Amino acid sequence: MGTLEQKPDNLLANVLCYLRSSSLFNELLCSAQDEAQRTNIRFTDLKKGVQNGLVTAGWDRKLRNAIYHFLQAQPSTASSGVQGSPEQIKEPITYVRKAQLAWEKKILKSLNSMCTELTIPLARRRPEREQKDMMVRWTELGVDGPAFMRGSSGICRGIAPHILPITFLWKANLDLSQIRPVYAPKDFLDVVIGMQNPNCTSTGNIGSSDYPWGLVHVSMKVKTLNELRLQYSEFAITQCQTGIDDLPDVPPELFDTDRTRLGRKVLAAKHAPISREFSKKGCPVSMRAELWCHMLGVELDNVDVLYYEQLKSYVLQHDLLVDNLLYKDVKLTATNDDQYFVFEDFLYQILLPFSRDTYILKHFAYNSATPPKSYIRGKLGVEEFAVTYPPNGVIPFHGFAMYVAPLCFLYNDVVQLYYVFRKMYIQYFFRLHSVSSHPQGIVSLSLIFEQLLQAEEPELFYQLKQVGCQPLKIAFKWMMRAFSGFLASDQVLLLWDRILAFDSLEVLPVLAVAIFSFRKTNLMKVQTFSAAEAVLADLFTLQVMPLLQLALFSK
Amino acid sequence: MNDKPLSCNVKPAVSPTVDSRLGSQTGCKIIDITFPNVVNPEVGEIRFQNYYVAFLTVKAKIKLTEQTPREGPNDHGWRMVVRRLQLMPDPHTETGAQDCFVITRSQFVCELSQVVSLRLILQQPSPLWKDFSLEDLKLFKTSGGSRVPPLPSWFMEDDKPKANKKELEGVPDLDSLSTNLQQLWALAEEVSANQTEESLGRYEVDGCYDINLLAYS
Repeated sequence: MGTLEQKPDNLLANVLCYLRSSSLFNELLCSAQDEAQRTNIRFTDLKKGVQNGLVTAGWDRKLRNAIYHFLQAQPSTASSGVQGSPEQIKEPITYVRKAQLAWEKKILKSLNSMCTELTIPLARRRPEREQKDMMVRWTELGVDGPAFMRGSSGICRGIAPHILPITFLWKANLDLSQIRPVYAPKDFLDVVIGMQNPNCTSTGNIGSSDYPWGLVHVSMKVKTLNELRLQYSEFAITQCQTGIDDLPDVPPELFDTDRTRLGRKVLAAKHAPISREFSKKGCPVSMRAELWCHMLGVELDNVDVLYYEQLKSYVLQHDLLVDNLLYKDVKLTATNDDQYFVFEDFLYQILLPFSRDTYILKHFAYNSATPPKSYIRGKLGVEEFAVTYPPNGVIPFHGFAMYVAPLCFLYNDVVQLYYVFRKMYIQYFFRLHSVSSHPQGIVSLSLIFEQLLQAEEPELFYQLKQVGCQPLKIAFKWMMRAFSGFLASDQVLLLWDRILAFDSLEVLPVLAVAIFSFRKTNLMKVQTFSAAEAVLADLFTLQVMPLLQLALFSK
Repeated sequence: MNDKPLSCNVKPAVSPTVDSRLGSQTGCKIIDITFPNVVNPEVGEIRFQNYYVAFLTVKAKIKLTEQTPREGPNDHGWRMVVRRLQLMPDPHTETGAQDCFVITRSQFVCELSQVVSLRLILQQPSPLWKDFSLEDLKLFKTSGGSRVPPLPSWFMEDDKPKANKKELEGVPDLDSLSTNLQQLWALAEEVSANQTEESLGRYEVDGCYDINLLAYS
C-alpha cells in the first residue's frame, strides 16, 4: 500500500521487478559474462572492469532508456501514491465510469445488430484455399479487399468462379456497402456532451450567469492559458522552430545548419529524454523517423519481426467482422484522400495485424474502456471459452485508419511502422476515443478547447453560440483524429512531433482554438451551422506552428 | 494488508450549524469515531474513498494519564492528528474527488495511542457539489507496507566445506546430490519468480475463434 508520498524503495522494487522479467536482463547478464571472461580484466577489479565494459558497449544507455520508458508508462495514480482497486485506476470517477460502460454497451449492441441483420458471424475460420489466396495477395489487399470474399461481383483473381467454395457463394450477396462504421466522432461527441455529475448542483438551474456557454458540463481541472504557456514555452515567438525556420526561403546558416548538426548528435546519443528535448522544436524531416523511435522506445529485434509474422498468420487464419469495418474505414477515409490513397495496401498490413495483437489488451489496465467479451460458438456462458473480441479489444470507429496514415510517410518498413503505431496508440491515441477523467482524455481536451476559446475569443464564442453553432461540434472531430486528414500531412507530422516531445495531447485543443481564432473574421459573419462548417472545412493551407504561437503568445 | 481493520463505531456525519434552522450548505461535516470494544486502541492507518471532500482534518481525544504532557490548564485531551490535508487539488473540479486515500503514521502529527475517540472534520468550500462524504472508512492498527520478501537464506549462503561422511558404495554422495537438487530447486524458484510478462499472443481457445455475437457483461 502506498502512502501519499511515493515510497522510493517501493518504486525501486517495481523497476527491478520489471527489469528482471524483461529480455534486457538476460542480454545484460550475457554481456556481463562476456566482459568478465576477458583476459585484460584483473580479478581484483572485476566489478569495475565489467561495469566499464558494459558502459563502453552501450548497455547503460539501453538500461537508462528501459527505465525511462518504464517510469513513463506508470499510471499517474502510482506517482501520487493514491491507491485504489484496478477499476479505480482505470477511472476513479463513478459516473464517468458508468458513462463509458453505457457507451460500450451501445457499441456492442450496434455490432451485434449488424451481425444479425447481415447474418454474418463476428469471426470465422478461413478455409484453407482462402488463406492461401490471401497470403498471395497480402501486399495488395486494397485491390479487391474484402470484395474478393464478400464481393457482389463474384470476380476473383487467381481462382475461377466455378471452383469457389460454397461459403463464398452464399456470402456473395453481401458487399461492403452494407457494412457501416460502428460509430463516428459525432456519436461520440453526444456521449461527451451528455455526461453529467449527479452530485453537481449547477447544471443550469441556479442562474443564467452560472450556465456554462460550452457543451461540456463536467468540471475537470484543466490547464489554463498561462499554464499552457509555461508548458509550451519552447513555442515562444522568439525561438526558432523546425517547420518554420528551416524552410528553403530562410538562409540555412540562421538556424538549419546548427539544428542539423545538433540533430545528428542527438541521434547518436540514442537516449529518449534527449530526443524528446530536441523534438520540442520539431523534428527535421530526415531525422523524424529515428527520433520518434527513440522517443517511443521502439527498437526492433528479430523477435519483433517474428511476432509481426505471427500476427499476419492470425489474420490469414480467421476472418473477422472488424476486418470489414477496417476495410470500409480505409475506403471511406484514406483512399479518398489525395495524400494517403497510395498507402492503402500499407494500411491494411498495419490495421489487420493490429486487430489480432493481444499485446494491446495490456493498455486496458489504464484505459477507462474495457475490451468486449464473447464466447466461442456453442459455449455461451462457459468462462473457459470466453474470449475478447476483437483480439486486441479495440473496435475501430469511422476515421480510425487516419491514426496510421501519416506514419506511412515516415517508415517504409511495415514492421517498424507497425510497432511505432502500436506504441503511439497505447500511449496516446486510445485517450481520444474513451470517456475518462484523465487530464489527457478527450473530455478534458474538449474542456480545454472550450475554456480557452472563451477566454481568448469571447465575442466569437458568443456569436457562434447565438447562431446555434457550438464550436466544439466542429472541433471535436479534429481532436478525436489528432488532426490527421484535416491538415496537410507534413503539418500533421509537425503537430505529432510536439505530442511526442511534450508527452501530452494538450497541444490539440490549443491548435483547434488557434484555427478558430485565425478564421475569426469569416466566422463572425456566419449565421448557420453549415456556413461555419464551410468556413472551417478546408484546413489544408494552414501552418501548424505559427498558429500555435499565435494562440499561445499573441495576447 | 493482512491485518483486520479495527472494530470501531463510525457515527453518521453531522453538519455543524449555529442555528438549527440553517440549511445544509455549511461546507463542513463532522464524523465521530469511537472504539467501544477495543482496549487501548492504537491507530496507525486510515483508509477511505473520498467523495467530494476537499480538506480533511483529523483530531483525536486521548486518555489523559499522569504521564501525558498537558497542553495548558484546560486540556481535555484533544490532539491534532492531521491538519487540513488537501484531498482535491481544486475543490471546484472533479480531480481527486473520488480517489482512494491511505493516510499513514508518517503523516500524523502525533502518535495515536490510548485513543478515546477520533473526530474527522470534512470541509468542502465549493457550493458546486450537492453532497460530500468519506466512503469505505477503515482504520488499521499498523501501517501495512508492501515489503519486498527477502531472498531465502539458502539462496544467499555460500557452499560450506563439508565434513567427512561415511561413504556408501554404489550410492552417489548424498550431500552433493542434495546440494545439486537444491541448486536445481533454486533455479526453478528463480525462474518462476522471474516470469516474463511477454505473452504468446494467443487469443483463440483450442485453436477455435468462431464467434457469432458479443456478450453483454
